[in-house]
Amino acid sequence: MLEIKNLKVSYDKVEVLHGLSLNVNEGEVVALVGANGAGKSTTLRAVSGLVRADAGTITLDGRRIDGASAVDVTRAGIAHVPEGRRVFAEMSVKENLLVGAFQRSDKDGIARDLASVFERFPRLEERQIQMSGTLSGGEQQMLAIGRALMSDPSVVLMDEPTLGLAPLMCRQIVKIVRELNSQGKTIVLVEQNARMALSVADRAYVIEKGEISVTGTGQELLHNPDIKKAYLGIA
Amino acid sequence: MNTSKTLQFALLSLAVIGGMILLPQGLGLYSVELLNIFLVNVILVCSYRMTVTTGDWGLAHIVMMGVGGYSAALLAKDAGFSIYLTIPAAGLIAAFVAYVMSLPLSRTVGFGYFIASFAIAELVRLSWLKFDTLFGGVRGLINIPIGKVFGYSLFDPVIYYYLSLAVAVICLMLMFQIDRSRIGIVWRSLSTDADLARSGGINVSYYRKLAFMCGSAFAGVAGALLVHRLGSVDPKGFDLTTMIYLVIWVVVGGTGSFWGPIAGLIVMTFFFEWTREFLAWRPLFFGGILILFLIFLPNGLDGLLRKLFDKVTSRGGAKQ
Ligand SMILES: Nc1ncnc2c1ncn2[C@@H]1O[C@H](COP(=O)(O)OP(=O)(O)O)[C@@H](O)[C@H]1O
Ligand SMILES: [Mg+2]
Repeated sequence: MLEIKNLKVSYDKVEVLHGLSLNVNEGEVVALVGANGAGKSTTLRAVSGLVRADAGTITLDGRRIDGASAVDVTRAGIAHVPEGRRVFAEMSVKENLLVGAFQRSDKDGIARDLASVFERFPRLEERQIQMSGTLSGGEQQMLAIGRALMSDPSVVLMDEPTLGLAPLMCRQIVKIVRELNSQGKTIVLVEQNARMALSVADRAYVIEKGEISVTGTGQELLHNPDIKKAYLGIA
Repeated sequence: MNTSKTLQFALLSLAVIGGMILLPQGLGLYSVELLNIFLVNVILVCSYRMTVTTGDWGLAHIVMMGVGGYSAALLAKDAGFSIYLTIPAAGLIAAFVAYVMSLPLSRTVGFGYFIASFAIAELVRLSWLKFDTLFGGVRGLINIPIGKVFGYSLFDPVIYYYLSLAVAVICLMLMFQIDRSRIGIVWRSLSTDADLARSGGINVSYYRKLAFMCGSAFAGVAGALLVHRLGSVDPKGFDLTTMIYLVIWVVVGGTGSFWGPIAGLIVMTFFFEWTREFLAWRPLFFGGILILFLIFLPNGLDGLLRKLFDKVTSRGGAKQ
């Protein structure tokens, strides 16, 4: 469904992705793991049109989306939950969610999706008129995910959704990822917490210095001795 | 807003409008003239807030008002348009000029935008001085026809007041609706985190341009009301000093809510009248107030009231 081929991206002439390729099939959860600075976020940013590719192609269902604007990528059905639990702090919870639906014009569909986000995250419904900046970290992450869902995407890109959250909250996020997937969303999950990511993922890619070093199913990588040593902290 | 709140709000609005309708009866002509200028400024501050909800604090707004003023003056003088036509036309022309200006402006952000908006507005203002056969140069345009409404001459300040009040109420209702619409929400999202808005699929530059155009349209309407009342228009009226007063009104009021800038305007208008005796000191007073607000109350009176309100309502409530 989503295919990246030989992707090269640079910031200020410094190349950080050196010909990265990966593919994601419909209905899969695919994890991207790797050390800090490996290029995971940059990969997601390239897909969602926030940074330009120097070379390579990105296709969604066979259609090129590299070079498309972030607006067009969102329209094509890809939603991005950026790293750092970013919400519009000075706006209410409900307004945050409505911003997520902005490029849509189907009023009924928006109302339906708003109701389903509130059903999924009852805490957000309770707090819908509250300023988002006053939410707890976990609630903000739910809001960030909810906002992404408001664009009615088929693919959701999640960048380190569990970073800095308490263990209980992390498990909650894992549950949400599973739920979304079982409801038909394709998910690309970026995580530094490799154990968590590999345990939910159907397949995973390890990114090292801007290239894919290893790939396999989540279970294979969980039991791969090199991965255990490098990313799971087990000698 | 739930229904009882909506009802309260509607009743309050009606009471305010009713009060405004009765107001000139007890006042002298000088005060009514002040009220006429006040209504122009109400439209002006609300329209400036509209453009700054995106986070684009600029210095062009007063010149956009001038574009409306000059347009109305020329249409009334040279084309013989009635005031019913010059007012909306001034808004449309200001929006169009704003569109052209926004093409380069939307490529700048933050401090760059602030300075660029001043430079490009100054260019417009200098063109009024330079092309003096059309715009009258430094002396501007005089003898701008004022006309009648329903057979009453608008020379009468009270009649003009009712026209201004009607225009102001319509403009405010429109701006209020836009502020609460999805467009208003998107504008506010841009000032909070433009990158995040972009990653959510919002065409940031389009919405910034749109905000500048909409705000300028209402500023243009305010400009038309102003020049018809004064009967003249000149470039001095739209200079940097006037712009700074506009910034002060809006900063003092706060941009957090629709009503903040109006509150700022009211407070500072009274302050302006009280300091009439200390004419030479006025810029110092106003500069001082601007600095004090920026340091101690960056969210203005609106932010202050909100904080006090939160304190009062949370006392005895869910406070641990
Ligand atoms: N906006 C930026 N400007 C310049 N360099 C950047 C920028 N964002 C990321 N980088 C660099 O690109 C590399 C990859 O970063 P990133 O994709 O954020 O990695 P990850 O998400 O895997 O931690 C890092 O070396 C980082 O320093
Ligand atoms: Mg990252």
